[in-house]
Amino acid sequence: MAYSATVVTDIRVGKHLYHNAAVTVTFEGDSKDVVEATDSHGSPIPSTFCQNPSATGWFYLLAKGTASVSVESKEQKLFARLQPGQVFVGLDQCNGGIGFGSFLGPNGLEPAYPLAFVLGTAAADAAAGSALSNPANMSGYAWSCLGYPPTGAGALNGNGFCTPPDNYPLQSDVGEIFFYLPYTEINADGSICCNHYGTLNFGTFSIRPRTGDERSGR
Amino acid sequence: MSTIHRQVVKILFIPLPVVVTACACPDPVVYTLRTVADGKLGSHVFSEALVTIQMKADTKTVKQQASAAGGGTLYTNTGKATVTVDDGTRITVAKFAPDEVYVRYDTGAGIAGFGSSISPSYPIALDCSESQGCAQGDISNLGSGTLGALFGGPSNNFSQETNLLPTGLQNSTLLTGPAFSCATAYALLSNPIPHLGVCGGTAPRGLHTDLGDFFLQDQVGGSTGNALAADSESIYSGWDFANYGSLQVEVINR
Repeated sequence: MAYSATVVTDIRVGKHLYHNAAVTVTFEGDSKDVVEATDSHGSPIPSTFCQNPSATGWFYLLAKGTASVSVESKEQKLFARLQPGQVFVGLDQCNGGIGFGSFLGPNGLEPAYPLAFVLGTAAADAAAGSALSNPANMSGYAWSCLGYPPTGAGALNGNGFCTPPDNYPLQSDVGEIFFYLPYTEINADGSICCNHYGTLNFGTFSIRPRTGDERSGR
Repeated sequence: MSTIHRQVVKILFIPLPVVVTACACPDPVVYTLRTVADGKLGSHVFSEALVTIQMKADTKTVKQQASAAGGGTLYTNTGKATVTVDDGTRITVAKFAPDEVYVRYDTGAGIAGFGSSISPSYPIALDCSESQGCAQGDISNLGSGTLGALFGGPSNNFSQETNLLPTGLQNSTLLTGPAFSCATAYALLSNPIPHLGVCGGTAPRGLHTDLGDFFLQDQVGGSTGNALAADSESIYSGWDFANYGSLQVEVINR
């Protein structure tokens, strides 16, 4: 499948900062390679907040595949191939999160950096039984946050802020890439307000068969 | 160097008084609205497709008038517009007939999007009221995006970058909010609080494009409500699970 997310945001590629550029992250992989994320003991990480107490949800990820980033700004386009092993497609089934996470940052695994979505129709699609296997389009609250969610949820401990990404580059064939989160609602001390609701930016996420997938029966 | 040439050089280097005037320089501007929506383009019916409406115009044609909301300004502009529909089965790009749609930003209501002769809020408006519809904007609250944040001016509740976003259609900016795509009225739901559900009807006519008539009719709206997973810290409203969108204003060459 091909997973694709688009948002208008600030992004740095090498030394060039693009302000309010249309950024698309794409990941191509095989949904057969989706696995349950595990903790340091090898135990699956539960997705804990299903409203239905009998429901079971897990945090899934797809790390095997190829990722790229395209940036469109002032009618100029830039395309970057990410080095393998940095970005994964993530699905937080019960919390209603979906998008691209990474093996970056101080925690070693980030569910919402470089770009992931919560709430919106993305939440409904994330909660669907086979959310990473079926074609779909959705929209939601866009997060590019190291340390998400800001005030924590379940096993994720937030400190109120998103860690600035400048020390955690994504490596690509055209230089280091950094995603920013410029538009947020904040508290009096400058921390991000209201946890999942704190971003003021929204974007879209799509799941598609890759070209040739249908022919090959995937 | 000849005498004539030396005189020309001298003339060229005579200090001249510098006159600085406010520049009303016209610049190309591109308005791009991205969201997910339901509708029909020509004979192709689509559900939850990526819908992008883009208009190429010029900043010099931006018009402004007092907002009917009682304060603020209504900005509008016109130009060549296209709609792209990508539902996963095909990607279709259609050109709107001239003057079929216009871009608008009503700072008095906190609403932006593309309007038409059918309705100022149709085909798409961002950040309408979740209980009253697009006759008024949403108050600044969680989920109302940069449009809600900019409504009423800078605030300590928002990041510096948010407060610095220009309000208008002549400068590059980013306007975000929940997406309303309905030419008629949304159904009104009451549980747990009064809010809008799905769009109640089709538009009286299609918006004309070179690939046939274009319709949008929101089939999600705030109808999903609390049926979805919810964490323990929040009480979700129906529009928390609606479609959201952004209107990117990008001035070229400035």
